[in-house]
Amino acid sequence: MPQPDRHFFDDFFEDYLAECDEHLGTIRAQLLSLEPQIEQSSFTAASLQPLFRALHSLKGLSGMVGVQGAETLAHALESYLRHLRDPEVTLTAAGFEALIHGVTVLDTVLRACQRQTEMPDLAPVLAEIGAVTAPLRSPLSPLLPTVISEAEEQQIQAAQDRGDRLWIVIFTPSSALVEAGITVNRVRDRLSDPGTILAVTPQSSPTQGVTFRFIVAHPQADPPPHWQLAGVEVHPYTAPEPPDRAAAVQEMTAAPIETASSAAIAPTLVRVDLHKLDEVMEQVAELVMSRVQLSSQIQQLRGQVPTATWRHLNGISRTLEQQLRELRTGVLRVRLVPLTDTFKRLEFAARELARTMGKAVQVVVEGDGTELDKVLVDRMIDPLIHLVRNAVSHGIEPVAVRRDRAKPDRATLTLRASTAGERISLEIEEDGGGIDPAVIGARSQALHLAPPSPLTTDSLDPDLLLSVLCTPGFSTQDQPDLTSGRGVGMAIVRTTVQELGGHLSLRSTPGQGTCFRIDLPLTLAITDALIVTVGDRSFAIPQATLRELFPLAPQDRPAPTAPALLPYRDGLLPLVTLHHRFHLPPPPPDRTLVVIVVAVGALTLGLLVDRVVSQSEIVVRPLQDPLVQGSGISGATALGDGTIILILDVASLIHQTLLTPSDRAPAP
Amino acid sequence: MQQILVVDDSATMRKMVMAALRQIPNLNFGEASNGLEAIEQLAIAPFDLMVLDLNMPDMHGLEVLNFVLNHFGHHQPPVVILTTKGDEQSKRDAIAAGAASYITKPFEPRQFAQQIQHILASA
Repeated sequence: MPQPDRHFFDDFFEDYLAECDEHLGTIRAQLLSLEPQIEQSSFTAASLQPLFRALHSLKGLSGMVGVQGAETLAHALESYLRHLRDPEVTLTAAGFEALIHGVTVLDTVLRACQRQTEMPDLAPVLAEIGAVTAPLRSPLSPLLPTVISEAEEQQIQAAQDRGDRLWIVIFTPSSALVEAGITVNRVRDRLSDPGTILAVTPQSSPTQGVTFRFIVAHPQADPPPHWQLAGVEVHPYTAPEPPDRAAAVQEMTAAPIETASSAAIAPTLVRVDLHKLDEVMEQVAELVMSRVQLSSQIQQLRGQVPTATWRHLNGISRTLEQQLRELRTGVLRVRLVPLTDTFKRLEFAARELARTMGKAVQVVVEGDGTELDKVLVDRMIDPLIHLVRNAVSHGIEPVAVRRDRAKPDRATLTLRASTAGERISLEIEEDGGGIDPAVIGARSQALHLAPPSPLTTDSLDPDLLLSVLCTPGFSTQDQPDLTSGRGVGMAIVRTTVQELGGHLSLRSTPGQGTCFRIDLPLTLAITDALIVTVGDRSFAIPQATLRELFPLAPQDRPAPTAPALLPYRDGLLPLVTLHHRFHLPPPPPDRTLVVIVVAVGALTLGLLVDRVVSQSEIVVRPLQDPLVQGSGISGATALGDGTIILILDVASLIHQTLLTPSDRAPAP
Repeated sequence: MQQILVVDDSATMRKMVMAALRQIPNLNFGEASNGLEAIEQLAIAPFDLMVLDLNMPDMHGLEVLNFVLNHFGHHQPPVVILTTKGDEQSKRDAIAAGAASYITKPFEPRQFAQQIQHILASA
């Protein structure tokens, strides 16, 4: 068979990568669920089916678009799985490891392909898979579901043992029903929620034409009203008729439904190109800008038109604002995806690395249903994987060391996500050795990397530590290995987080463990902000970071140049005079100014401004220029009157101020 | 207009198949992502040809093929099995069961279109 004309299918490359991502998700989840079956004789061939099919589809698609590395690798993995179907064969630890390794490289291949970077060398992993496959005898003939009626009988028996009621549901399709949206897929979805489909068989008779016969289990005495759809008949299940194998074969009964895969294409789901969503978001942003301009014009009309007219106009503008806000929330919700798949990937990466390093790690996942903008998820996956790998390779101690420290052999790695308002926080925490500031300090000196200030054994300032860890070129490894040690990772992690308007922080207790925390905005495009003036300039401060504001009388004002601490609640509040920070004319000495208290995570900072002008929805235009990065500015936005103002990068202001109060660190 | 039913659980693969077949003039396409859906479509409207994948959830392609051949009688369209290469046993089974042709992925789009055109012409 000739290779396909690659260019013919070029248009499908995005589709290909997106679908491969879905398959990889299935593959990882299935593979992780196989782990308890290692060396077990109870291993069932049926449990391999979803894994097998995902690899098979990935192989087929890769062949079509000419990604030979993925095709070859998927084929090798599939071939090993084929051998495993033999009931005499058990899944060995080496076999499982080969599968995990193979899938990891497969992921790398697809990523390289997406980014058009160099392909990894497949020879070692192919050899590894070959080595576990070769000793097994030649595979059984290709899969056909095993004799169906037996599986069906077992399922029915199991459901009856659970105390479920069984129903026969007959669906007769017709073109009228299909036009009304009632299809066999829809019926199947209805029957499986609530309910469990045990079997489904297409049947055909001269009088009725084609019908579908479902056997469905449901715990309640009556069939749910939800099942009542046009074309559907529900009958109580009657005791099995005497088995007539010949008839059964003639009728072509189908395999029991696999619940995991039946959602393959749910009729209510639409797959949308992310670029299209970006365009919609862009349109919403334009609308928001126009609305802000409109509102600003209406404010100026006040007093110039009859009051009743003005009120009416203003009312419409307010309604428009509310509607736009709902539209914006709606579009935002469409862009949000749960972190479930991402966390599965992280878990997979952690387990794979733990296995290769001979460490025992248990992965705990919390809040994986938390949702985040798809773009942020895609940008964050590499930094997160890096943090997870670091946690396993550097954070978690070898088993022998853990025993010396009277810790359980099995370390715990916790992946945690939670939301607060318009921000999300992600944490990667392990109960490993913690970070020793003395080691980091010595290492930093040995590498001739000037730390922002000296690190000592007895002072453990987490932000200072983090800053050293994130210095480009910093690495604790003399020899880079496959997993870490190239000294670029942490720098990239922090830069990515900052580019996304987020903040990276660290908490570490020597001997007890380390936690990296990432705070991110839920989305990038539109946010609420406070508009303030500093000298003759205006700035926007994102609302998500605001804690409170209070006036500051002239006599309480500290000298603008010195780093200052204001009494605040029960403690002291570090204060930044923004006039000084941005080289603007100082405020008149006799004026009462305003302190804006902002916070990211547990870090709080006061910002001194002249006055607060308004509260407004702003459309964020990020500034990607490296000269601006880390300067305390995250982007720009236009106000209602068309003026362009800068948006404060609160996370970086906090970070810089609290880290190096007197000597401002250069951009990282 | 001739009606083609494309059955594959991969949406991307269905798109590719249709893109290749659009080289043939006057074709309309129906799509199904699983065997039950394929049978439903065949039950409510006539098709001139079905392109059928083998490895699908719920119902294997060979089961779909058998059902179609046994239950649609002379209304049954020619069935072209389109599956990922390396399944020689299933090829024998499919041809023995009555598939009109057995084509493996990856396929060359122009050659694939020619094969389908040929089957449509001789049906």
